[in-house]
Parts: sequence; structure tokens; C-alpha cells
Amino acid sequence: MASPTLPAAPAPTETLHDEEVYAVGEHSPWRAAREVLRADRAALGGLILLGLFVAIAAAAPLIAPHDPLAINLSDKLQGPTAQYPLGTDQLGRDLASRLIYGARATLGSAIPTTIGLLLIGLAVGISAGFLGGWVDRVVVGSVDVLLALPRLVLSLALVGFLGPSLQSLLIAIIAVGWADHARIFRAATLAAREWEFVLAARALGASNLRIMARHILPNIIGPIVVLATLDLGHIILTISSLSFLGLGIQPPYPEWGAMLNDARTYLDQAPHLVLLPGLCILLSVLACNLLGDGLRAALDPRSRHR
Amino acid sequence: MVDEAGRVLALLCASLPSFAVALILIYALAVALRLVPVAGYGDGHLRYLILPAMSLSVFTMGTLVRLTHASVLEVLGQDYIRTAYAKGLSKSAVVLKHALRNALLPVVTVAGTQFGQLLGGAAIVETIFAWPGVGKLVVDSIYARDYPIIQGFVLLAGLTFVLVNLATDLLYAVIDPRIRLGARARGGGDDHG
Repeated sequence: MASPTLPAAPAPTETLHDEEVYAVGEHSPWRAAREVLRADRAALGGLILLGLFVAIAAAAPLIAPHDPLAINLSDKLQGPTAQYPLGTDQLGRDLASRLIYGARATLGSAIPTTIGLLLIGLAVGISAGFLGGWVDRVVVGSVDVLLALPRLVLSLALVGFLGPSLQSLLIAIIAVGWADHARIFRAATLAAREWEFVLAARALGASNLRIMARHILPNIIGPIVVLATLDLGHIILTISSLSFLGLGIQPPYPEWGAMLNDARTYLDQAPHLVLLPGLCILLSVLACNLLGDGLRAALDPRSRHR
Repeated sequence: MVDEAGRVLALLCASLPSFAVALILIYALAVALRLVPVAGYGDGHLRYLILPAMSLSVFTMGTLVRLTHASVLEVLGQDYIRTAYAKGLSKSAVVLKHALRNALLPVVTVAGTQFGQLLGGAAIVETIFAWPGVGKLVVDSIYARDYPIIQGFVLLAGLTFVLVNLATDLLYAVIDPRIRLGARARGGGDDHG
């Protein structure tokens, strides 16, 4: 996937666009994010949509009208009824409940994966950028090797060797994806470590670890937040793609991609079985992309020409 | 207004999973309207190519629209654009001949990468349309735990990917005469990879 062009590090003050922010004089990513959301309705829509999906996923057992696994063959392939608000699938399972639990399966694995990916990318990227020397050479070398192969191919191969399951899918995503992050965070660190306060911290006798955690990390939080948001969308897409192929979440557990795969045989009888899970994937990924794109536009002074 | 609509539309395309596009297209164009075959390779007949090609292109298209947009915006801030306007050129001439051409480099980089990915990673669309491609082969091999085929596939995909990247790098010199091959190597254009 095209990794986002990110600002090397949030340049002071010029990333913020309202006069009142200049007046405050202190750069705060959260404040910047609030400004973005106020000015950018698309990004705000993305945030609301994403929040909605997370809420649905968290409250799945409370709001699902039926057991998502309960088979009721006499009710199979029904349209929307009072009993089944969105109809039923080929085994008579309630579609609405399966979609709700699908949100739980997808987000419940995509969010931890995103966090894992970021943590590894941060640890490797910041160390390489800050320490330099042989650490940097080893990291850059391995990153280049990983980036020389198409991602989906590597993930597929890894899932192949580990055996198809959700666990191996998530391992494959992290094993393939960290390289991109390490590269971006390394570049951001290279820029941040030239700043005077890093030198000042060193002169005060701060250890490498302390400088990395307390001085570098907070200053590259902008790219981190943008990347996390866009990543979540990519990972949702990857999880549902590989589950669609039967390599991720295994039946009978509901997952949007896997549900699409089950439903394609019944495309002519029950197109809603395909449309609704597809719509869920689309909306959740779109929410992440809208939010991430808005945040990036605000943090990257070059891309703002409104 | 056009900018905002284009941005949301491009994001929409970049958020659509290829398999969902494929199934929706099958339903609309093949099942409901009966314009094209539902699936199958059909001895490579062009009619059979329409739906798989459309399904694969939506995501790539969305990504490229966003990238071109960002890249053109960046170029439009350059001094030579102001010079071109000052010369009295029309807006379309400035945008098409001066801005677009200079904005093309990152677009070509990503298009090359995407092309390389497509050559190795069309597994999902191949599975849906029952095309006997390498992607479907590798998914079947994963189920069968056929390791030599998976290894061979990684080798083949990696090789194709490297060759496509090489071709992209060579293309730089065509697009931008300032880039001279054989002179000091530039960073491989990997700032978007």
C-alpha cells in the first residue's frame, strides 16, 4: 500500500492554522487534532463513524438480537422481518447479530494489531534513528529486504507456513508491516534528534533511553497518530481480505470478509447477504481513511492549500 | 467543492475491498443486467476480463487519485508555476504541461509498486472469478500445505516486483530529463514505497 507521505516531525507552530493557536505558543498535538476536527467535516464524520463501530463492537452482547451462531434452517435466506431485522443467512442465522459480532471480531483483532505494529515500529525506528551506527545499518538493511517483496505475498506465505488461523494472520500482518513503520519513525527521529533540546537533555546527563522516551517520542506523536489511524483501515481491509480467502477468522465465527465469502454462492437469491457485510467493511475503512487523511493534511504544511 | 467531492470519492475507492467490488459488480452487471460473464477465464476472451479488471482497478485508482492530488498541489506552489502564469499561459496549459508533468514522479513510483503488487497478489479476485492464476495457485497451496509451491511463488513474486521497480526507475529518466541514469544513484525513489 502507498504509505503516507508524512512530515518528518511536526514543525513548530506552522502546523497549526488558527491565529488563536499561535497566540498560545505551545504546540500540542491534541489541540491540533481538535482544530482539524472543527475545520474538517469529513474528518469529523470519520471519527464519529469509527466511534460508532467501536461502540457497536464493545456492546455486541447487549445489542445483538440473536445468538450469531444459532442455526435455524427453517428460517434460512429470509429478507428483513420483525424477528430478523436484516434477514437471515443460508443457515438461518440472524444477519444483524452476525454483523454486530463481526464488528467485534474485526475491530477486536485490528486494534491490538495496529497497536502492536506501532510499538514494534516505534521501538525499532526510534532506536535506529537515534542510536545510528551498526543498529541503524542492521535495521535499514532488514527494512529494505522486507520492502522489496509485495506485502500480500509475504503475508500469504507466512500464513501458509503457520497454518490458516486468526493468530497466524495477525502474526503475518505484524511481521510484514513493521518495516514500513520503522522506516517512517526512523526518518522522524533523525529530524527530531537534531533539535537543541535533545542536545540540552544530553548535556544534563540524560540517558539514551530517557531522551528517546521523554524528548523524541512526544515530538513525533503527530506522524504516529496519523499512521495509526490510516493503519487501522489497512489492517481491517487485510483481515477481511484474508478471512474472505478462508485464511483468517475461521467459521462458524462471524467476520465480515468471511461472511461475504459464504454469501457469494447465494448472490442471486439474497444479494443483501453480500451488500451489508461489504458496506460494513467499506464504512469502517472509510472512517479510518477520512480521519487519517484529515489529520495528515493538518499536520503536513505542504499539503494544505485550501 | 470539486476538491472536497473528489477527495471523498477517492477515499471511498481506496476503502473498498476488491472482493466486495467484485461481488457487487457480478451482481449488477452479470446477474441482473447480463452484460458480461459471471466468472471464468474463458480462454482469455476479452469479455471475461472486464469484471476482474474493474474490481482490481478501483482500489489502485483511489490511491493514485489521492497521490496525484497531493503531488499536484505541492507543485502548484512552486515558483515556475507563477512564472508560467506570468508568461500569460492559460490555466489548463499550466496545469497539464507544467504542473502535471512535474507531479508525475511520485505517482509513477506508486503506480509501479501497485503494478508489482497486482502481478503477485491478485489472489482474491482470481479466486472469485475462478481464474487459474498464480494468486489462486498459492492460496490452494496454502490449504494443501504445499511448501515448495509457496516458496517458488515468493521467489517469483519477489523477482517480478524487483523487475517492475527497475522498470519504474528507468522510467524516471523518461519523465524527468533532469534525472540522468548512470549519474549518482538517487535514493531509489523510495519515499513513497
